[in-house]
Amino acid sequence: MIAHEAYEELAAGYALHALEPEDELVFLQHLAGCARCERALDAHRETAAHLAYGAGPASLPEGLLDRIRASVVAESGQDVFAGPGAEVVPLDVARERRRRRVSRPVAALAAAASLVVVALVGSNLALRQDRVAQLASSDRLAEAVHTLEDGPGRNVPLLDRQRRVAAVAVVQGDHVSLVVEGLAVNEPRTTYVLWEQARFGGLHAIATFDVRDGGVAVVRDLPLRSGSEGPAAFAITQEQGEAAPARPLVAPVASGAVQDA
Amino acid sequence: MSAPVVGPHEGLDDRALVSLVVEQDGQALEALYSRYGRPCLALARRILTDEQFAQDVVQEVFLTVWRDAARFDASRGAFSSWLLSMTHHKAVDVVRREENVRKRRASADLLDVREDDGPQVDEQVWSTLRRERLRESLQTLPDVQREALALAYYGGHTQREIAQLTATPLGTVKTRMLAGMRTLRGRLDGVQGDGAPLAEGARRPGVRP
Repeated sequence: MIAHEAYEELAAGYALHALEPEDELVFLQHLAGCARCERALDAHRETAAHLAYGAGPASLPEGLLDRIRASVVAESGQDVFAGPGAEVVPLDVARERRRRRVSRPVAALAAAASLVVVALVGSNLALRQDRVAQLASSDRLAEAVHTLEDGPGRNVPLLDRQRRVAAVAVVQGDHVSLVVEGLAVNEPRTTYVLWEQARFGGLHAIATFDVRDGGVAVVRDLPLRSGSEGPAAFAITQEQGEAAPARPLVAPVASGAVQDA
Repeated sequence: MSAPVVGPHEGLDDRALVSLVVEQDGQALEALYSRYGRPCLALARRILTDEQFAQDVVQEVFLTVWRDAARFDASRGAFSSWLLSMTHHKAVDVVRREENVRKRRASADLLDVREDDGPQVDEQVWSTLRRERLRESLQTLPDVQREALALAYYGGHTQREIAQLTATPLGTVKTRMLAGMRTLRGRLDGVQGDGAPLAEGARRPGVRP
């Protein structure tokens, strides 16, 4: 058991982008279920931003704004820098409008995301604690998704408290699919919730699912909410009720950090 | 030198500007660049010591703001902190990828808070005040804590690299870093973390409610 002070040390290192990959993995797995460390991390990020002002003054070079404009126009397909100022709306309203405009509504997607129970007969994986076995089992689980998807994805093993692979998240572009084998059958009136930890943002519930008798749960085609930066980690909690709460109310049953490619 | 962008959004606070960026308003992005492009570029330059890499990082940061402004969560901190954290992360990624950049820097060069490596005429009073406050706060830290923070933040070094560079046990580096961050937080508490930097002689626009 790691003392909590050690996680607070990791939070400071994470805010400074100074952790080794293995420490980052440990911290992100812990962060997914620790509101105290989330608050500490937010505070450290504010402090780190003050350090930025120690870098000294700078003048903006000719042409940099033009390069930014050009890259935005190229991406937008229209000149968004002309015309009168837009109506100022609250951030949450703006966020909702953009969500409706540039992507499908999350609620509808969540409903449309097919929760498929795939009977993988005889796939009783021998999960062992060593890394090789973890990767091997995660690869096997990921195959279940790859056979259902167009192309290969990035596998993120989610380990349970015994460090066994309980699920694999397969990130493909701006979507993720989840293959679960190794979680207990749902307790009555509970649901599993998949959480996405954004690299520069918050923790978001992106799916709810159940685990039934004798099967592997596959949750497909879930839209990621972390944008172009991609997710930093995933976690699964088992929550009371049928809907995802705004924040995790219990510790994760499995979690895993996204390793840099 | 680019002239500051003057537009219809100049007096808006950061949250209002971010809302407009979410609404695909390019002028709001220009206003954020006008407000924060300098500290972003200064930070990237400091870490990378390469003008082209630094400008590439800033371009990528503001393109990311354009794409992902909706991900900014005002309940978790100031927009400037989110933006500068992103800038730092991208710059550190580059410096770790480009070993030749790192080799050009002297460690000692990382340890000072810079005063005048850019034209003061283009500097903002508010940024200068923040820098002075930071310098005062850093000077209250024990040397070893200040060194650990500087090597990590400005040098882009990992904790293990800092342990090797300073011949210090890794656990001690971690402890020093946390202690330094906590002390700095206490010293800098109350320094405004969001809103528009002041142009000289200008009235400070509204910031977060």
